[in-house]
Amino acid sequence: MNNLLRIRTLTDRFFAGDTTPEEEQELYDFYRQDDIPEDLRPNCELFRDLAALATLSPTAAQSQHHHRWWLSVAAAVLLLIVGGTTLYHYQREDECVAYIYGERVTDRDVVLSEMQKTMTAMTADGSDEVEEQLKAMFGDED
Amino acid sequence: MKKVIMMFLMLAAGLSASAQTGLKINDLFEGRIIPQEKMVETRVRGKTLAKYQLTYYRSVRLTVREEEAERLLQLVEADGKDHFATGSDRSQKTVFGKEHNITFKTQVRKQGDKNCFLCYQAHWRGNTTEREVTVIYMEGPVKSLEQLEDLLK
Repeated sequence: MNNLLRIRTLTDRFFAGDTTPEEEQELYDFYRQDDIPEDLRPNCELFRDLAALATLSPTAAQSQHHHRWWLSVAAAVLLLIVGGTTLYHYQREDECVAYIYGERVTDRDVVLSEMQKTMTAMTADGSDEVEEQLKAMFGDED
Repeated sequence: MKKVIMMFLMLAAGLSASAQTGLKINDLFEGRIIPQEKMVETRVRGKTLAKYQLTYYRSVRLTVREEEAERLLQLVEADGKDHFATGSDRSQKTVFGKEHNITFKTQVRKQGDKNCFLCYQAHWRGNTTEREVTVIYMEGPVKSLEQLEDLLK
């Protein structure tokens, strides 16, 4: 009686995908018998077929197990790559850094002052100030 | 499974590629032409640049020989030519009949509402054959370099 109760519980758990390989083997052994209670008979064919499959390819389960293991490792590696890249880009979103002859400077004021100076020099063609100074010093050549 | 791994690796590689990838002048920014210890590099990204309508700014400033300055100018000009350019501007200034500086500005890309610009400037350093070169790469919604100049005023 207790055994039947256990089989019914295991059968329910099997269909819920919660059984271990040992418990599945127990179910295969049970459903291989002839005197199966009326209510469990509809499951017989399924479990006998599954039992046959398991005995035909004993390495299939192992292979599937290995496959799952590799899948987990690959998923973990991918998670690290994607996570790392996302974090890297998140940190760079508000980047403000200068490398002055190889020396890293993160002082925001220094970096922004350098940027502003460079941009202004570029847009103003830079030479105006020098030209003015030279002209003031030597006068116009015209 | 291999396909999925490759896809993720390509995605990661794509995300980590620098903004000016694909440009000839990228070699300078990455220190493949002149060692990075011999230049001043500035990199700014994010909200700080919003007032200039930019999202990314990167510049390098360095002192090089005349030939190297010319080579860098050729790279920048080639980038202006290779990419979708809405217009380039090259100007040469002379002081008392002598060359004083060269400035070259160009748009190198347009991606949606984001524009990418490249600027080059070389200053003559006295009577030496050395040039002080500045190269700037910028990207953002700013429509043109003229508009950027107005924003800087």
